[in-house]
Amino acid sequence: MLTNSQIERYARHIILDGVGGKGQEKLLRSKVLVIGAGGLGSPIAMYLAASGIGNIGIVDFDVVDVSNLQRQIAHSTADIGTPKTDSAERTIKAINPDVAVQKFSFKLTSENIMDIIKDYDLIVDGTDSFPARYLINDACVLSGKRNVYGSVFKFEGQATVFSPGEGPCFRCLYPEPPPPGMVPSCQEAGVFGVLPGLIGMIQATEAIKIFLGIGRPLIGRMLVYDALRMEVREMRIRKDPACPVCGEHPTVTKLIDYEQFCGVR
Amino acid sequence: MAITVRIPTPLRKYTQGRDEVSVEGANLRELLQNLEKDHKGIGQRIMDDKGGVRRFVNIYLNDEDVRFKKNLDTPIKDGDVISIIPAIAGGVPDRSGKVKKKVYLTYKRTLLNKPVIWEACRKFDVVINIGTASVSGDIGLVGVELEGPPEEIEQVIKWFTKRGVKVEPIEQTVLE
Repeated sequence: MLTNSQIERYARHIILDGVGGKGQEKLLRSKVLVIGAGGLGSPIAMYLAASGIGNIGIVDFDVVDVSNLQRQIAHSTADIGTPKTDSAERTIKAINPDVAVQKFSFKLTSENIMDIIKDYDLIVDGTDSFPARYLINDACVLSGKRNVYGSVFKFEGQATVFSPGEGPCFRCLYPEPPPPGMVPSCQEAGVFGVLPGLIGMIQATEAIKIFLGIGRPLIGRMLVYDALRMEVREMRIRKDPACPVCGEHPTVTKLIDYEQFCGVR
Repeated sequence: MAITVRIPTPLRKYTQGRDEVSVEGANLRELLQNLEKDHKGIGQRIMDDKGGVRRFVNIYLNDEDVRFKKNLDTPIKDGDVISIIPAIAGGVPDRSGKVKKKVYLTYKRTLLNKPVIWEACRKFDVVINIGTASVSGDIGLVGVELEGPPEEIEQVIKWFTKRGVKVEPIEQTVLE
């Protein structure tokens, strides 16, 4: 049952067809793990908090740097040098003190990821490297969890929902990562500050829709956003029967060494 | 028959910054060959040495992944739109974008007074660090470490060779 203060706070949700009091209660019981508290993770965590997602786990091992502030809106100038998980928690709590925040201020690895994701209903991938992308993908496939995916580069972004059993996974799309250096990073190439905000919002929207069970989830479709053309294209993406992790004869049945897989070591 | 090809951000340096180009071709293979003709260098970013599409790049005919059609043999018709969509990781990654390679550069006499290493640094996104150097008679031998994106290293080695500098890999530990 919603308390009086919750009814006041979530009034615009409660009067909304498709959410209502029942939907809001569902959101308050939901547990989301946001991996990465950077450009994507910041707006994701803030809107999930504002919407009343009751439990938000934040994973990030980094500290706030001044060059992050152009896009990572969960952190402010006063937070420079502090762990991103601490700063994100403060921001979330300031928006909505009802939200329980769990902080994981270390690097996700093949050894620890399964133990962390097992307590969450949904995973949102806001990371920034190929080893992390493949690690999260494989862990989600192996544990049957949905993974809301988003990525950005310069003025362009991609978003989709990987749902084991229902649609493709990241490896169905891209069986192998590019060799290091083949695709320049945002550090070298730059990123339009508002871009992760928009892609992060698509991810947060999908996460909330999934909990409410409303609308058409972004499964089997990938949105490709071009900020310069101000255009969104939708690509059909399919499950690959030969996928090494979610295909008919999987060869990846447990987590591997992802840095080696991506050639970064 | 002109087909519109949508170029993703990472490949726009091959198309003078253009986000779409017009290319001829009756099927995808032909189209990609013509794309390379018009925009030198783009082909190797999309295709591997064996002529297949790289596994971190997807090509869509309109909104369909060509892997689920006839791949490179997929027929294309006027008005179709081809999109090239590579995997992107985003963010600020681990400092993994660069690799190092150690090589010996052997100079002929005619090149000894030309600033070849300086030229290479200006032309390519590669840091060249000299480890050892010796000039004797009419031959110069310089042991260097090249640091940069793998494709740039590949390019600079080709350029050295074209310039008449012999490039040989150095076994690890020679310079350290």
